[in-house]
Amino acid sequence: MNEFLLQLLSGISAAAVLFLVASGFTLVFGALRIINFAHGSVYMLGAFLATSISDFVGTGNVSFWISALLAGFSVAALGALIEIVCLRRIYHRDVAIQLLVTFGLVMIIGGLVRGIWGSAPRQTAMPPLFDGGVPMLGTYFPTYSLFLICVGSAAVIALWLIMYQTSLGRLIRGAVDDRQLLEMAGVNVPLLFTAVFSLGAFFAGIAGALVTPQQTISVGLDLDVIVKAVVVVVIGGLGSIGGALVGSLMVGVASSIALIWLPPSWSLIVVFGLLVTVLAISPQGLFGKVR
Amino acid sequence: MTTAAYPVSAALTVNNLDAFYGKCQVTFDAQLHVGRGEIVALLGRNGAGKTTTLMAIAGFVTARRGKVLLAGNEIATAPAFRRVRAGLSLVPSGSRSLGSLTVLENLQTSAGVSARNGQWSIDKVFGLFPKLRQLAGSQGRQLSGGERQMLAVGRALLSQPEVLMLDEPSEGLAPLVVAELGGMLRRLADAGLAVLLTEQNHGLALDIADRVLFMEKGQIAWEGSASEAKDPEVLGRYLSV
Amino acid sequence: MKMFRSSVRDWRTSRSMRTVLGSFTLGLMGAAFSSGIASAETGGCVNGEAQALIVSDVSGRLGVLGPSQSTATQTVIDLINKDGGLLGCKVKLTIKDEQLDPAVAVRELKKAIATNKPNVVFGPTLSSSMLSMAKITNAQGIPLFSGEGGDAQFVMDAREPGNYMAISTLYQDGRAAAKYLVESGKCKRYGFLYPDIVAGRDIVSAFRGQLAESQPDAQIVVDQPYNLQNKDFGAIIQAISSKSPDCVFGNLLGPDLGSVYKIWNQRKLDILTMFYPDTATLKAVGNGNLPANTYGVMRANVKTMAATPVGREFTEAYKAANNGAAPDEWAYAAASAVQMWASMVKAAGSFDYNALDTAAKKGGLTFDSVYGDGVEIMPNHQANAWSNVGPVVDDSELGHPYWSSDSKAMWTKDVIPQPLYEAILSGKTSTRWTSAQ
Repeated sequence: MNEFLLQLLSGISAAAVLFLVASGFTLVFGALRIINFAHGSVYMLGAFLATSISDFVGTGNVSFWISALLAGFSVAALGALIEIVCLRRIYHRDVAIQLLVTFGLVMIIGGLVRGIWGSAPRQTAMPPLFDGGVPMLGTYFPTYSLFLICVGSAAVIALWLIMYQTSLGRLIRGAVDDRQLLEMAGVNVPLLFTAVFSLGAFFAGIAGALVTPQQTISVGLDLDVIVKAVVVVVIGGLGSIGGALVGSLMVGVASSIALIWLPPSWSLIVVFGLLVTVLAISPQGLFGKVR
Repeated sequence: MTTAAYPVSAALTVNNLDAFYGKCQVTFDAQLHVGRGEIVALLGRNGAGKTTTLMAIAGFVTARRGKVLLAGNEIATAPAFRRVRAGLSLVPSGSRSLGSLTVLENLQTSAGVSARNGQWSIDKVFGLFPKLRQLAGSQGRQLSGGERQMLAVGRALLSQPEVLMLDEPSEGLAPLVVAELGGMLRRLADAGLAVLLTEQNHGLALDIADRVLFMEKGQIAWEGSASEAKDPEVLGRYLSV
Repeated sequence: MKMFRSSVRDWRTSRSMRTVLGSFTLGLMGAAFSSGIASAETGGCVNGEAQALIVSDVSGRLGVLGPSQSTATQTVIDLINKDGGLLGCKVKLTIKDEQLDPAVAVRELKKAIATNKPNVVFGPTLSSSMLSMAKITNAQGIPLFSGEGGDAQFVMDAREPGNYMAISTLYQDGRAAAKYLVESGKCKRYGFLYPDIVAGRDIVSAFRGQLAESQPDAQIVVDQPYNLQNKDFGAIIQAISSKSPDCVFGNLLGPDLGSVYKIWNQRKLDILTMFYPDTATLKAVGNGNLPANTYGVMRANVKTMAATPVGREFTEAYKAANNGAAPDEWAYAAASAVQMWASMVKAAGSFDYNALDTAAKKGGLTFDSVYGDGVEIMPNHQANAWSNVGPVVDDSELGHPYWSSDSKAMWTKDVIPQPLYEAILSGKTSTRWTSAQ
């Protein structure tokens, strides 16, 4: 029983990071109708920026937050720039062109990261507050994993508040429905899209920064995370934040619980099995609205 | 057709408009004007270029040439949302609404965006369409076609328009709802709004319009009063298939 | 003809000339091709220049091995050239990136051969890439030397006359690690954590084999192969710790190992680990952040190798060419491959594929390598080196954690590769790999 609970908890912790990435990806798809493969690259950039920022500000409890937020805001600004310079030109173009452009961004950001930070693995030290483990269920469960669960929950609440309690959220949901109609209502849709893309990048950047104390990071982080985010979002339904939450939990928890019986090399089989099952039952994903 | 000198006081003036869908030219040298308090109907067969004309005026379709003056100000190069804020609203065809937003949220999207001080508030829209007040908490996708069309008009009014354009407003609506909508548009026009609407079905348009334009192959082919347009010979020439 | 040949050389060495002479490319390639045939006949080089090629993962998933391997290869070749070259030929190195992808490795190799057929190819880390490349180099009659990759198969079931391995094999590593852990007396319940690739499966297989001999009552409580692209080890380590092993073994290195050490620390796990702690990861984890009971397996001991005469010369040259950065274990392995090739060329008096094979098979060939002067080239084309096994602790001289002074150099004469060949034939170890054509 303890083993089961501990795997469950580990899975939820993985799901928290997944949700931070997948929610931005699905938000951008829903509003901008762009499958942004560069979303994983933004996550990677956030992670690498956080390691460099913490080189300057240190790795105390406060400087940990400084470097995570600074990394988040930096990639949010970069996200805005990418939206204005690249994506704005391709909304009306063919999907193939859009995929090519975002894939090009994957290459560019990947090359940039390799050029700036090199290919050696990097990491940041654990902030003292979250170092070590909490004694529970007969073992020490990493404090930081519990912290990630808190951050994930906070992100769920924050996104819910943004989406349902602010005018920005109202406009984002409107854009998911019909962006032309929104423009006909006099909404500055280009600015809205910049804001949405930037918000998605912020969440991805924060997620990247938050894994650095627990994972050694290296180039290749981008593709690893985007594959998972795509699976999560397809399971949950493209464009749905609730779907991203449920999808993250399903993918995170299923691949963690499966470890009780299966070696981790089966995790892809577990995850894709989940994907196939969900799509067989509900071809648009669990909460899919956007075709 | 020669360039006519339209009154400068017109709420909307369109001159020499060449609109394109991609590389394909749809309107050729289109011109029209709508005065304050006037309802102008733009009629024509399917594919004549009516919708494209409205979309080009609103800024959703590229106009390579031509002027669009809103109360005398050139807006042809402004992005669509700025034209709305300047007082030019479009109710697109198909009774579209923001389906996952509630009626109230639908109205909130356009409330307060306008650059102009207008008379319309959400409360006044509810006064105009009491049904919407009852449905305030319902999602757009739960409404009937007629309710969605009321919502669309209400949303357009909240952007405080000087000119209201409606693309095939009666399409798919029950006759009773069409009549109600017509009466309301007439009242709005009488209160000073300039209205430009398109129809394939001439029924509503000829009943409420002051002036009628017939469009054919992307050009304004005929212009006259509503009573002149009711001439079966004219209707036969421009509308029968 | 002589003038024409010298223009070929200019074309090779000058980028701008290459652009200007772009229209003559076909003709020049024809000339290079025909002179390639000439060199195969004589076993010498063309225009006093021998062509060497290294295909390595300069970028890609691991990314920590390729850069130091290619830099080390260049360093040794520079040293050879400084001493007057090989058989009167200067050696020119071309570096290609295989991005840890067999398909890329094959593509880059084919391109390089078509442009300028090399006299020797040094191969990458990834076994699948190495083995895919071997098919091509063998067909082309080009000797292929491995610093790291493809070891178990490379010298065993897939071996060809022209394939050489410069360092110990995964088989030896796995055996040496098992012996060391058995002798430590610390382990009864064993666990495995390794990437689910040929190299991972083979080393664990070798470890299990030695364990069955040395500690028959040992229990294997957890066996966790993971996908190479995995980044989040939280749940995996939870699953391992639930089975409470005493010792966990595997061939983790690079970013994966860094992540594992971090979670190991947070969970305060009192489980002995024995992995492949590479220099870059140890630096990234940093002093004082290494879990207790951390042990390492390595094909080369940096301190030992820097102390041999050849090793010292190499170390200084490497540092001088790299802003003072010291070579890591992968660099020494790659250096050894070049030294092995050079000594064989000298012994054979030829660059030729068959001549090298004949020289190797005669046996008794020795050369001065960074490993010291006791290295033999066995008839199976493998430089018989050793695996280093021991606890990893802070090392003030290196500025980051490394092997303590009591690390054991495990001679592997008693675990010569032959049994592995038989084991492979009997299906007891993995021989699967992805091959690209």
